[in-house]
Amino acid sequence: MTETLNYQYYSLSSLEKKKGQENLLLSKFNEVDKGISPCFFWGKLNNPYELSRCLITLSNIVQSSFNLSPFQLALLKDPIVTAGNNQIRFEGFSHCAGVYARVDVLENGQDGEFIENGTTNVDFNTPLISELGKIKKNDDLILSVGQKEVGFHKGGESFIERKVPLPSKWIKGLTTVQHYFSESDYAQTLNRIQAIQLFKTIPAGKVKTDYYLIKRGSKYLFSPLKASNAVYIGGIHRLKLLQPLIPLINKLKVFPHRDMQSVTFILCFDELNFVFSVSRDFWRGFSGEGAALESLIEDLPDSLVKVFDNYSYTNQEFNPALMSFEEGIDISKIEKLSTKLSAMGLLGYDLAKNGFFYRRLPFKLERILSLNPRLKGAEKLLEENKVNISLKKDNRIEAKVEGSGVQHYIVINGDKQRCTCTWFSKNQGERGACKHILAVKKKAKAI
Amino acid sequence: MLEIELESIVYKERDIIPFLKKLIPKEKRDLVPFLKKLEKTIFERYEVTEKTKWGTSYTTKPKHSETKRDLVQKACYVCFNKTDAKKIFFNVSQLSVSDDYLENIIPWYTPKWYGDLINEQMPWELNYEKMMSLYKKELLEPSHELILARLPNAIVESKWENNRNRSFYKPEILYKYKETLDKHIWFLFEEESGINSYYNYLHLENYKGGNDIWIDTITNLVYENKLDRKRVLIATIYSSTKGFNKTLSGWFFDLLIKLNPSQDEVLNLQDEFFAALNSLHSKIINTVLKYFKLVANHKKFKHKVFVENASILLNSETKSVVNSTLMILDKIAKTHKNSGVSVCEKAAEALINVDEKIQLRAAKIIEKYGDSKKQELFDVVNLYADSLLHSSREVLKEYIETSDEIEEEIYAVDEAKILSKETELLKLVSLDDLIFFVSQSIDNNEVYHIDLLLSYLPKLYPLLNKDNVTKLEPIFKRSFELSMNFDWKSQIGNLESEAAYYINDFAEILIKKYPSELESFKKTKSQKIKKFKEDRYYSSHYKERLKQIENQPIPDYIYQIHHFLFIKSKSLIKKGLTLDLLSTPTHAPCWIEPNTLIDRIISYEKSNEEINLYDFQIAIGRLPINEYSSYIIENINKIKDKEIKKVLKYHFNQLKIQDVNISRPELWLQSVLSRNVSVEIKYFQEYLVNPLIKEMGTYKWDCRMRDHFYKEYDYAAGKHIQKKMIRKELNFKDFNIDKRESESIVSNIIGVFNKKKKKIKVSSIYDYMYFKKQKYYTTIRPHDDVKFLFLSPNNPSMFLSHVIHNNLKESTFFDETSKKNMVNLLKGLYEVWYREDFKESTYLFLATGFLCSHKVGRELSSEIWIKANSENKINNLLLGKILGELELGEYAPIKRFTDLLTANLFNVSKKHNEALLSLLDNMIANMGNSPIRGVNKLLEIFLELKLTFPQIEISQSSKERLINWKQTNTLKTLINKIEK
Repeated sequence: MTETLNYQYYSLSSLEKKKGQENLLLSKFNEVDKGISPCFFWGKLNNPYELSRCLITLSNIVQSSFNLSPFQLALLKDPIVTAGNNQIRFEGFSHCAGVYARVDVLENGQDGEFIENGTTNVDFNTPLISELGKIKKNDDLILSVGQKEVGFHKGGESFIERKVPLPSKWIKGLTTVQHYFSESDYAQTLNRIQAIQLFKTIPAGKVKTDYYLIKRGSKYLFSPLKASNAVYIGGIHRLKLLQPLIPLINKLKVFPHRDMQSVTFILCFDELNFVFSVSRDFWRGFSGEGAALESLIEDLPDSLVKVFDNYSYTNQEFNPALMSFEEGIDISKIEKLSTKLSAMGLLGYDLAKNGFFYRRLPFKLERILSLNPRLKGAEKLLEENKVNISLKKDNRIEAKVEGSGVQHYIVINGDKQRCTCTWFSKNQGERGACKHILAVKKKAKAI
Repeated sequence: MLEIELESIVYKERDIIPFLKKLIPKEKRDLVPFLKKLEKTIFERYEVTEKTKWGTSYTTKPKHSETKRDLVQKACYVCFNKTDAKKIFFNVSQLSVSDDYLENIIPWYTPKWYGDLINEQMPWELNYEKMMSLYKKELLEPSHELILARLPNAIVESKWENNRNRSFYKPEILYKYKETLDKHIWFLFEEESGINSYYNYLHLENYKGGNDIWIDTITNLVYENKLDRKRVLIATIYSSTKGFNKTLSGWFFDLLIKLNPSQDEVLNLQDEFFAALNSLHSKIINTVLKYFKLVANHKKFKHKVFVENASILLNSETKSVVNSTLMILDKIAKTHKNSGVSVCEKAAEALINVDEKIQLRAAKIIEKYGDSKKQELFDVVNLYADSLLHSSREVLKEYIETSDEIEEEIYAVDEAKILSKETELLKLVSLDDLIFFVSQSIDNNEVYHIDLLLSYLPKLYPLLNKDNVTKLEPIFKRSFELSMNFDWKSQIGNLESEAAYYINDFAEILIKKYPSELESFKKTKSQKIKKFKEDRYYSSHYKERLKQIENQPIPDYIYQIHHFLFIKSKSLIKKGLTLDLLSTPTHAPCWIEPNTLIDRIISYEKSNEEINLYDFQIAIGRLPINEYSSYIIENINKIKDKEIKKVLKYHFNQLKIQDVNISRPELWLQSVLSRNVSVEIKYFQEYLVNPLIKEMGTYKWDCRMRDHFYKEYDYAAGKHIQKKMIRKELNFKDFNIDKRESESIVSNIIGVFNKKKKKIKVSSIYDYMYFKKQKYYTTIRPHDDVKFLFLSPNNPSMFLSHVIHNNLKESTFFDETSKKNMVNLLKGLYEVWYREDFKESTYLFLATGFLCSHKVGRELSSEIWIKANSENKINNLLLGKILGELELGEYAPIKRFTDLLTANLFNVSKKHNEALLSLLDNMIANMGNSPIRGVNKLLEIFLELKLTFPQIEISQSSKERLINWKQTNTLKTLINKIEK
């Protein structure tokens, strides 16, 4: 199940003091484009103290895990940096694929040159993190994503190599979470004092009970009891990762998912946002969720995907309507496109701006598309001709799908879809459709 | 040719070295396939069966001699590549430490992979010294991991002498190789190793030093100038940024403390110390702050950087960190006059802390160095005005806006209507809805799903025909699998398993009716049964599970109540009746709308169907008191059964119980208990000659030390001996968990002679509300617990008194199940807490929730308190009394309660603070004449509340307690303030 990804960096990322400035070099690696591509960004960052704290937290998140063994934990995964369109974003995922974080350096947060657009893995090593801890408020911090002076590498002779097990779920989570963002709505904004008070109410230790974010009077708190309009937070101990940042923020914004399948916090600093999202439960990663499955059963022509890939540049906002108009493509196809593209690792979602943006994950496409088991299962059912649609009228579809030893009964009535299988009974559609429903839908489309 | 020669050498056990030496690389490669086969043969083992005094033992023994195996191994080493060699050498220590190899083979043959293999396998016999000797011979370039694994052990030498293992401290090894102190020792500061965990327990023959020999060793090396002191200091401080675990990080800071950096050194290493402040471990931060405190008033101290970094420190959860930070800020402001404003603004951040002493310290800094005329500082302090306690408010009075008291934001609570649109449960009627509901009921269920299932299955039955009955097959299959499941399933309770038996019976009824349609399921089922029959383990267990629900055993007495309902529902299916059970809820989580219940009773009468008593009692118990319309009376009159009619009229205030001739008291019991009107209860008790103590859970209780006896094996005496331990325990008096009181002949005779009225037995669901406690936990599975609570939501006291008796004698939970029970029951109680007049057992349960060892439990209890107070539905005096008595009996550490007070109960709203004042007042009144330890925190909050409501008088009994407590010096000032 676990594949190995071989990070190859030409040098270690480092933070050095030169001419009174702190120079942060992030060494990059992209398995899609292995050549020595030029530097993406070189320039000054305006809030070095807050940014370095955010990066330390991001590094803590990519190193954390809430359901893996300490052995697996010891292996560090590197975050991803996207530079372009006057923005720099650092994103990462916890090992268990249940916690996602992104540091967005906003347009005014940097003062530098975007030499090239793109997305890449960057090396985060322990000495670098340790150096970042020393950055002070008024330091000058120069960031370089990739080496500016190409000649610095001695013809690529030597590079730093680090092999890490890369479960496909890590990448899948990274893609699914974008879809969750697109289905999350703004709920509330807390000021710094409210946020500090809120975070003080996180119970100690690893808590198995569900918690809710509630407001009582002017105070916000986490409570184990569900009140109306409460925001659900599963595996609340994961929020402790944010604790060191809370005293430094200006505001905290909360975006729960429509069906409470995840919750996202945006920690707002000056010209800097820290996006933090946790899955429904600590033992459930984003990767296993079937949120994007329904869109993936849509067969989109490769040519369309290619057009899109050529059409966009890094960090550019994705505007489905405009694209459909310009490229003359059916709008219904385009609507599904954003989900599919995000599931393929081509789009990220910016909650603060409420829209998708282009960024191509630095992994091979086949890795990203390594099929979802449920989708695979649905396709197998179709191949083996196990799907039997008995009624298709108006909005209603009735079908029987052969399961192990029994015939499952499926009813799709407009938006409501139900199946007699265990997966559906247990989750009632909250975690995406089961393979039987997916198969019926796909077959019904073909009729 | 070579093969034959090799084979002969091995079998004849001759010297193999000359043969191996002469092989050229190609010959080696060619020999590999043959050698692999030979190796297999020589290493073969055979099975040995031996009879021992303990029975038959099965072992294996090698077929060939050790010499032969050794010869083959040597050949393999010389011919194989790394991958193959790794398989042969189970442990590569032979290659790295055996003299035979090191003297006879390695000198003339060392493959390229030799060093890699050792680095990978890290053989445990290869100690640091041996590793270094391989390095010196240029056979091995040791990896970081290998060095980190071996170096910590290097300074101890163990020998087996005179039948015992003796260990010696040998630091000399560190000087033997130049690399050790130049390079290797520094790795220990960079990467995780076991340096901190080896030697505390070792008894070293020649070392009587401190506790940790590595700390001593490094300190000595520094003292002897063998290691550069500054470099060691820097590396030690930086170890905190390497992501080490808590103990290892702590160890390095113990080393730092031992190295005892001077004031100058601390000043020179400030950057390093600042980096260490990012550590996640409080010991590190505390140590850094300790050093900073020493230099904070020095001019060279980077005070601006410290102020910048202080936010995170001031928000730390560790009090000592906050305190030290404030002390340093104080010193900074004192030394650097112009930094006053920035220090004050920073110190204000500590005002959010709920600890009075911390708040006061911060407030005093602001008062001392700040200027209230500076608008910015004024604004900053005002941000925290809401959270200020009286003492700091007093200090900062110049900063607090004196405008009229801001009207506090009213804490809105959801309107407490039990029977509302939001809580109404959907009525399912279509075939599809019913099918998918049944499918959901045993997997992802709400607390009321089992109840609904009992009404829905009889309704589904007549809708089924030969065309649609197969749709149920997947559900039948799952239900059958669930009932035959022998593994522990954490997501479901025993009631779900019972529901599965019930669905199985439903399936059987349908199989009889539609044999050909359900043929496929029938086949699957019989195949499964066949498999169980053949299985050694399951063959003796499976039959039980195939019994009909009527004959199914239940896990404990309390499950009997639902068992009756399942059987009743099944009988409806058999009769083809589509009646609801009377007790089926109409509103979440367990309520029944009164008119619906009356309609149901009428339908039963129309169908000539007998009403099940337990079903009736549960139904009555689920009627919310005082929520009914006038139409109801009209409806009641349609009921034929006279006594039921009277019960309902009485229930809805249309009839006095005293005016009725009761002939079936069992119909009245639940109504009397639900209404809970004391004159009516008294009348009913007298009528029955039964105090109904069990039914109401109105036991007397106390909490005190109790002796416990247990048996322990005494090895010296060679027998079990009885031992005594003392536990503080909460106990009910006269709590008899017998199912029914048996009346002895003697008491009967006495009764006759005294002409005493005979006690009337009332059968009720309460006869079954008992459960056992196994060794650690009760028989009630989580998921089932709330369903039992909801059997009688208006009178939960009997069930809860049993929960207290079994799970809550002590405030600490020793098992996960009791903890889960507690959380579930508190969540359930939150939903049904809509009246003030619950009996004392329910309040006692809530109080144990406040004090239990599970934080979630405590938080849930405080949520109940907050909700109930918002709706004025709680008796704070009673709760205060119980809490006082529990604390007096030392049921739980008082800190648990005072922490909950500050974090959850205090300052919810003005109304809640007032309620809290009366709760604490009565709590203190019941806490005895000598104060318990730690009570000062409780008094601090009491004082704070008293100051908020100066007009409220504290009770006389509370005053008396406080007068007595004043004799304790530490409480004197506090109590004086309260008395003012």
